[in-house]
This record gives sequence, structure tokens and C-alpha cells, in this order.
Amino acid sequence: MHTQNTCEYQSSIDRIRNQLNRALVGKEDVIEMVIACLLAKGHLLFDDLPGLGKTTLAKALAAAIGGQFSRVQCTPDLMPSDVTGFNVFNQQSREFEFRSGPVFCDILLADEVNRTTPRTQSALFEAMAERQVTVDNHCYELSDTFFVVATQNPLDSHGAFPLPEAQLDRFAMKLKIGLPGREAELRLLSMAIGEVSPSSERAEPAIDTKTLSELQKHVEQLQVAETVKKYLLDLVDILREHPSITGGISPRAVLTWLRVAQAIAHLRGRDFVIPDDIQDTAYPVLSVRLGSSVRNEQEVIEDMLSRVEVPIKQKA
Amino acid sequence: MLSLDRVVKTTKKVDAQSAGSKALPSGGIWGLTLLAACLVTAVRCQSHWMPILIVLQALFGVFCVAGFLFLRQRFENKRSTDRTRENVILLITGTTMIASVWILDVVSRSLLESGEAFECRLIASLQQLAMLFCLGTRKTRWREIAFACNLAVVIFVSAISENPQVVWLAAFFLVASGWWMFGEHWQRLKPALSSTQTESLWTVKLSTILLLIAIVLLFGLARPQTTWSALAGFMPSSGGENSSDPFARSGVGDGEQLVGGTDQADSFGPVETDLFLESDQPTLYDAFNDLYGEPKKKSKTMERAIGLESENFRENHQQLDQSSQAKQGLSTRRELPKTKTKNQGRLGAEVLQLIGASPLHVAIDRFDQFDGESWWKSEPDFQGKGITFRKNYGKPWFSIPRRVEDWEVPGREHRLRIINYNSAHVPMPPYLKAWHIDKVDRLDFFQWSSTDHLLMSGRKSIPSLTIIHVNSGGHRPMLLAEESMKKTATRSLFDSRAPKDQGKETMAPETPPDQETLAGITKHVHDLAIKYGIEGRPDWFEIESVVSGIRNDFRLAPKPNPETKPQPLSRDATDLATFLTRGEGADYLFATTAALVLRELGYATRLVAGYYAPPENYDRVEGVTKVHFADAHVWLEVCVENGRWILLEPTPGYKDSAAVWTWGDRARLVALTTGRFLATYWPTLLTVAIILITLWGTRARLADALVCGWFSLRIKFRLQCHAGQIGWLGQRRLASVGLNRPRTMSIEQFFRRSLCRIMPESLDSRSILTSMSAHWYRQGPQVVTNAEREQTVATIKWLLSLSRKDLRVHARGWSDEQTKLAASVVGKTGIHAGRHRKSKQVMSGWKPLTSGKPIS
Repeated sequence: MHTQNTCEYQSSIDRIRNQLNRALVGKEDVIEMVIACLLAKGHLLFDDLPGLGKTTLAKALAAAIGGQFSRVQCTPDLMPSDVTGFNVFNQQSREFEFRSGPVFCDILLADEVNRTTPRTQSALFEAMAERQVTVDNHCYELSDTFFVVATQNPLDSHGAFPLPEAQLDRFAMKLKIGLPGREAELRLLSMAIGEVSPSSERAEPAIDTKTLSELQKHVEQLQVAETVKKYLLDLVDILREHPSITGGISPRAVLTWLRVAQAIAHLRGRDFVIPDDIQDTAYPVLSVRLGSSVRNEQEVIEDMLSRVEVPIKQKA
Repeated sequence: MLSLDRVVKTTKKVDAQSAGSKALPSGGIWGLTLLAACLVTAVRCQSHWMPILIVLQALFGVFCVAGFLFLRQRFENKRSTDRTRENVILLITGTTMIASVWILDVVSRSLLESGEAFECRLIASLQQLAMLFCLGTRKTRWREIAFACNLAVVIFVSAISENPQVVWLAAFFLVASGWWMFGEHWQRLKPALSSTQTESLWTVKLSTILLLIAIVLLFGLARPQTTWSALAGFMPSSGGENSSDPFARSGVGDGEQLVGGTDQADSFGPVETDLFLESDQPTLYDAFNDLYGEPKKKSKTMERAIGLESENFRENHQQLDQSSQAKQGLSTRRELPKTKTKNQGRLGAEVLQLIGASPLHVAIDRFDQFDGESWWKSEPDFQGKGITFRKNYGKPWFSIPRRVEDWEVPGREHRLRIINYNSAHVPMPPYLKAWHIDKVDRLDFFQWSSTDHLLMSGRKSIPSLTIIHVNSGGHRPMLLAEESMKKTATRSLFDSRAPKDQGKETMAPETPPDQETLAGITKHVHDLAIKYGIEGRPDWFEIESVVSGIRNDFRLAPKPNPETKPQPLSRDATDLATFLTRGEGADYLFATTAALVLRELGYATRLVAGYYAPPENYDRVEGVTKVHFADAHVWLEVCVENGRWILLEPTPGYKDSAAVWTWGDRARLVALTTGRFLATYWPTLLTVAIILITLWGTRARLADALVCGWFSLRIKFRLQCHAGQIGWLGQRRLASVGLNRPRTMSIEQFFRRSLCRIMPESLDSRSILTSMSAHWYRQGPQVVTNAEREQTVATIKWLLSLSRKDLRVHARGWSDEQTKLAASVVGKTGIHAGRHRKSKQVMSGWKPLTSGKPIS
């Protein structure tokens, strides 16, 4: 039964991957991380230039998991109620009724999240961290598979409200999509002029939200050996004592890192985590947390990885 | 308003922080510790006979500290949380440093016949302990302990040393430590103060400025000479000032009495003992005394003296008591004096004092004739004209005009202060060149004989407290090897006594030894000559062989203690024949034996009687090495072809004080010894070297062959193979061609980037990697299917089938590719460039997959 489930999960994941690959051409590595983030029940922050396919990817993801997709274009005048929803007075029933906002969905795309005010950002982050929304002293539960894809543009800083570190910690990882390769871009051009039919037509959802929820639970239960846990903690220790890092890495971040590593292990067809998974997820997970305090987070992370010996021990 | 509670709380908080992982700046305590270390090293060097050992030990300490710091840095890079290993290394470093002090002493005592005082070793250990605590300055408490140790060390050192520089350094240390304590305290208070109010440090600045002004006034505006002399009186052992305090111990208050007679016989003063009791011994100087009062009692015996003018007359100048008569001959058969004639006291047993480097052989008399039992000397041919006289810086110097030989090292300066020496023979260090006694400027005062005797003519003895400045030399044994020695035509061991010599200058019995004894001695000496003699080598090596052989093969009997009741000694216990039979005896028997064996081998030898000034007798307070009657010693000399005599020291426990080993000579000796060893054992050494080089050159190939052989056997005998072995084997095989896995790279990545690329399609690399990883990182019982097992065996077989050539080609290509990757991706960071230099193949290109690439 277990094996059968695993096979089903693998095929579902392959389908998601294929759909996303069709939507965003030539970015397999990014797509793998996006799926890992989804499986780890994390939220995703895209930090990249406009026009690189952030929204396309988010939409394709929503289509692939067959969930409800919402989009919020964050602007300075966006109010928290515009995100969470608000109570309106129903004249007929003489009662207040709750009008749910875009946050009540399975996949929420918060575009240019650093454009909106901290007040609105906070409302969003409550939803992200606790999967609930509080409006007028009333809590509303969100979907189990609630997944936020936020984007921010690193170039224009005028009129922007940079996300504070405490809020950045709610994101599981930060990704850059980057420019596509020459071949991928050529194919993109061909698709644009109709030479090649776009492969991401309205396809059937690859996975439903219920299966996604099961998959997320399955990922949580993947094995992590003691040596691997210690390896992870050694890496974190290096960062915590690093002279150029002031805030350090929170235990929530460590948990998230482990969860993402488990997801990657699952994506790679294993039911256990190896140090490679930890290493490969280090940059996306840590860059969202180090980005504000460290200018050269790439170097810091590489330095960290090059200072801890990989445990290679036969299990007892 | 500064709240005291708040200060205390913040101070505690800062303490807690400093006790944590982050170390406080520890430059101050390091400076103090290094200062204390310098002080200790300086004092130890001063008191040690071989200061180079102390310097070497200090260098070893520096090496240990540097090693520890290096290792700590390394571990900090690697794992910053685990301090256990660091503490263990700290403990090992400290133990090594402290043990080095004691081990060095044991080694130098046993091998170099040199040692260090117990208190010096103790204080050095304490200082090393301070260094140890200083190294572990992560905790504030440790720094405080380090400081306390340093303080104790400095106080102790300044107490035992009388060197003014040491005292000044100690004073500087105390001032610096005061500032350090102030700074430490301030540093703890600072966070509390800064959070409440900003207080300027005007008091500190003002006090510093005032202190500087005081120093400038003291040393700059006032005359330096005056300042120094004013300070000098208050420093211990500074020589005192002009007042005279009867209760003074040393230093302030005992000025004029303490001007020791170290340079001039007529400038003495310390009335400490019975040294200056009235004596009728004739003085060296004859000064006209026109003072009023009772005239002093004049000596009845008149001897040759130097006339001085009346201003040289010192009323205090008194003479020593008389000592016992020294014998002029030397017998190899001796007996202890039956009873002590009188209590000679501490200084009564003191013959002379040596100011200068010790040990030193001081020759008094030389004997060149031996009849089998007694030595005597030929009639010396004194000739005054052999001595030249000239004034050097106003001082009268006499010298013996002799050519300085190549092997000779001139320029050794000593001063000998005569105390209780009743002989007219001037005590001579080896290779005497020149000598000087204050105000003695007449050439006819000395006589120089062909047998190297220096006599103060016209006198029966040299008066006490006479100070003789001597300029002597040493010899370089390595250069002596190039000299040819004087050979005697007839190899007769024994000389027959001329009638005129009989009973004249020796204590020897009137009857010569019987023929049987002589025959026995001759036989023994002949055997020893055969044993020690070396044919076909330079003469000096043969002589050294004889001397070292006697030093090693015979034991020195302990000297009879004259203070205990003398035991009647039988004749058998002391004479030469017994010594040769038993192998134990006194120093003169060693010298006699060595002389006889060398005579048997054809060399001209003679015996020298005198004193050996041992370094143990060095008196730190007076700064002199005291030579007692008990330090009487006998050694021998051997003659070079040109007539010069070389000192030889055959008695164990006595050092050849004339031998000078330059670094060049030592290097030559090492080269010579090594060359001799190589020449003897070259076939064996060559064979061993070839084998070792071959093994070393082919070590990788051998290891590879062994590993491959072992796995072939496993496959052949169908022993169980698991997926973990694939990783191990592949790693070993790649390492054998020089491609080592960086420790921070996982074995999966290593495989993926290296062997998976050349893996045949029949083997599923992804599946292999998964099973390999599962072996290490998957928990719970391992379920291995038959297919996986077969795949494992197939992979191992494939790994075994790879030739070294294939592996090498692949490794080189992989390495080039990684280098390109490094240039393009890692770029300027170069993080991995310096960390894996041991790998022969370039691994600098390795970069973790931080962008999250999927498995290829």
C-alpha cells in the first residue's frame, strides 16, 4: 500500500513538474525548488526583475494543483482588508457578513509585495504563518494547502517598504528565476509567433489539493539520520557565529530548511535525506534570511558549506 | 545619576557575556605574559652554564604556543561550537611546555653535564602555567589566574636576580600590570557607565601627563648622571652610596664597605670574615707610610715587592693568615692527612676565586717524568727574557710571545683572586697569553720556564687578595685533527730518576716500585693501547679515542671528605695497578693512565696539577667562582709537533674547559661522523634507501593493488558486498591516481561528478547512488533486494576492471573541467582554493549546488 502510494505521489509530482516545465521553459532547477517549497508547506518569494515569468509560474502552479488561485497587486494604498476580506452590513438580514478577500485561496500571488505598506504586509504574514485570518475578532481558517508566491523587484527601491527580517522568516525560500537560456528564449519567441503551439494550454490539474495535502504529510515523515541532523546543526552553528551575521538563524528557519531538504529528497526519489539535500537547499532557504543583513550571502553560504565536513559514516 | 545597582548588574552581565563564546580582547595579558617570559628567560640565561639551552627551550615554548594558536584557528574554521578538542590540545600544549623545562634539565644534566637550579625550574614552570592560562583566555577567570601567576613569577625573579636591567623590567611590569588592571576594570564598567552618562577620562589623562612630566624632569632636565647616582643608592646590590650603616644588609647604606676588590688588590674593603686578620705574610707592595700613630708590625721576611708612593698606602690593608704548605711533587699513591691541623673555616679552604667563565683548568705545576708510581718534573729552565712587557691602557701587561696556532682560540679573559695560595707559581689557565697584576710593572718579577712554568721570582708566595688578570685561550678540537703530534722515539713508559731529583721535589717513596708491579702496569697499559688505538687515522682521533675510552671505561671514585674521620687507606686501594684492575679511582689515576697509554702509542705527554674551577661553585652574590682545596685536580697534556701542549681531560665529570666548539666545527663534526657512518654502512643504507624510495614512489599503486586484491577475493569467494563498499572502493581507486575527495563534498556528489560519467549504461548510476546513500543515511533495517545485490556486485566488478590509466585520464579531464568551472563560477571568492592543497589533482573548482540543480 505504502509503495503504491509512493508511486502515485511520484507520478503526480512528475506531472506537476512537466506542466510547470511547459509553462516556464528551461528553468528545471527553479521549478524543482518551487515544488519542494510547495511540498514543504512553505511560502515562496521571488526576488527578480520584471518580465521573467514569476506570475506565469505562479499561475501555472495554481493550475497544476487544481486549486483556487488569487492574485493581489500590492500597492501603497492596498489595505489589509483588501487582502483578508472584510465585514459588510447586510441590510436585508440586518447582520454583518464576511466578504472573504483574495487570501482565501490555495495559491495566492502577492505581486510586488514590497510596494505595499507594512500594515498590509503584516496582515498577509499572519495568514502565511498561521494559515488563518482574523477580522473583527473572528478567526477564519485558510486552506490546508495555502501557498503564497510573493514577488518583489530588487531594482526600484523608491516608495518601497522592504520586508523586515521577522517577516522574511515566514518565507521558506527566495528564488531568482533569471534569464532563460538562448535555446529556451528561441523557443519562447517561436511560441509567441505561433510557430510552436504553447504546451501550457488549459490542461487538467496534475494533482488535487487533497493529494497535495497527503503528499505534504508524507514529506514530513521522511527519514533524517542523526548524522545528517548534526550536519545541519553544524552548518547553522557556523552561521550563528559568523561575524558578519547579526541576527543568526532562528529555529523556525532550521525546521524549514530540514523540511525543504526532505521535500528535495522526495523529489529525487528517496525516502531519506542525505547531506546533498541539505547542501542543495542551503542557498534558497538561507538567502531569504541573510539577504537583509549580509551583502554577500552567496559567499557566506559557500564558506559555511566548505567549513563543515560531510558525515560519511556507516549507520550503526 | 549613576545607579550603583545598575552598574553592578551590567558588570555581571558583561562578565557573563565575556565568559561565553566570544573572547574579550586579550592583548594586555599577552603583553604582560610575554614580558614575564622575557624576564624569566633572562634570569635563567644568567644563571645557566649553557644559556643556549634556555634560549632553545624558550623557542620551543614559542613553537608550542604558535602550534596551539594554529590548531585553534583551524578548529574554529571547522567547528566553532565544540571546545573539547581545543581544551584537550591546550592541556597537551601546557603539559608539554611545563614538562620541557624538567626534561631539558634531566637531559642536559646527563648529556651535557650542565643543569639548572631547582628554583629556576620551578619559576619557569610557573611561567609556563601562566602562558597556558593566557592561551585559554576565553574565560575571564583564566586571565586573572594568568595575571596572578605572572605577578608571582616577576616578584620571585626580581628577588633572586641582582641584574639592574631585570629589576627595571620588573618595575616596568608592575606599572604595566597596574594599568592593565585599571583597564580591565574600566572595560567592565564602561557599558554601565556609557548607558547612563558619559564621563570623561580627565583624571586618567591628567595623571598620565603628570607622570610623563615627572619622568622628563627626572631624566631630562636634571643631569642624568646625578639622577642615576641618586637612584643607584636605593637599588639593591647597586654598590651602595657613600653612607655607612652598620645594620645594612646589602644595598642602601653600605657603600664604601662594599667596593669589592675585584680589579685592584689595594681597593678591597669587605671585612666579612677572618680573611683580614693580621698576618706576617710579605706584601706585594711596599709603600712608604708617613702617617702618625703606632707603626704597623713589619714582616720579618722580606720578599721582592713593588715600591709604591705614599698616596697608595691604605691603612686597612692587612694580610691573610698563613695556609699550609703545598707539596711540590705528585705521587699516584696518596693518603689522607691523619688529622686536621686547625679549623680553617669557610675561607680557609678557599684557594682562589675566579672571575669569569667557568669551568676553567688552572694549572699550577707540570710533571713530565714518571717512574711507575710517582711523577716529578725535570729541572725547569727559567728564562726571564721569554716574557715581554707592554702597557695597555695604562696597565702593565706581560705576555709570552708565541705564535697563535690555527687551532687556537685566543682572547679568553679571566681574573684570578688569590685567597689562600701559598706558592710562587702563578696559576695559569690553559694556553696563557698574557697577564697583569696591578702596579706590577717590572719584568724581573716573573720567570718563564721552558716547561711552561710561570714563577714569581724572588718570592715565596703570591700574597692574598692579589688579583691576576689573565688572557688565555682555548683549542678547537676539529682543527687539531689536522695537526700532527709529537712522537717520542723510544716508547718507554717509565723514566728513571736521576740522582739529583731523588727526594727533592716529590713525596714519592725513596724506593722505586718493584718490577712485578711495573710489569703489571705495562701489560694493562699495553692492552688499553691496543683497545683504544686507531691505526691509519689522524693522531688527534687516536688521542680522543684514548681519552674518551678512559672516560667511559673507568669510574671516578668519590673524593674522600676531609671533614669526616679519615679512613686508613691501604696501598692497594689507591695505586695505579689497582686502578687499572678495578677500573675505579681518583682523578690523578685517570690522568696517569691516559698519559701512559698515550706514551705507549708514541705520544709525548705530561701531567698537570692544579685546580678545576667548577661552575657549581659559582657564588651569585659575589659573582665569583670559588676554588677550594678540594678542587685540586690533575689532568694531562699532549705535545704537538711544534712543541705546544694541548690540554686533555680524561676524568669523567670534568669538562674540557679549553675546548671551543664553534658552530662550524660542530657542523664539520656532524658531517665527518655522518660521512664515516655512511662510508661504513653504505651498502646496507643504499639498499634500505632504494627499498624505501621504491615503496614511497609506488605507495599509491601498492595501496590500490591491495584494495583491488581484497575486493577481488571478496567477489571470488562470494563474500557479502554492500552498497557502501562501492563508495569506499571508488574513492580509494580515484585517490590512488591523486584525485581526492574534498572532505566537505559528499560522496554522492563526488561520484556523480567523477565515476558516474564513465559508468556503462548497463549500470543505473542513479539507483547505485541511492542504494549507496541508503546504506549510510537510511535508518531502520536495510532491505536489499536481489537485484540491488547483483547491481552492487556488478558495480564493484566494474570498478575493479578500471585500469589506473583510465582512472588517471578521467581524473585529469575532470580536474581541468573543474578548474574552468572554478574560473567561471567561483570567480574571485576562491574559498576552496587553499583548503585542499594536499590533493594532487585540482579540486578548487568544487562548488556546492546551491542553486538546486536536479540530478543529471
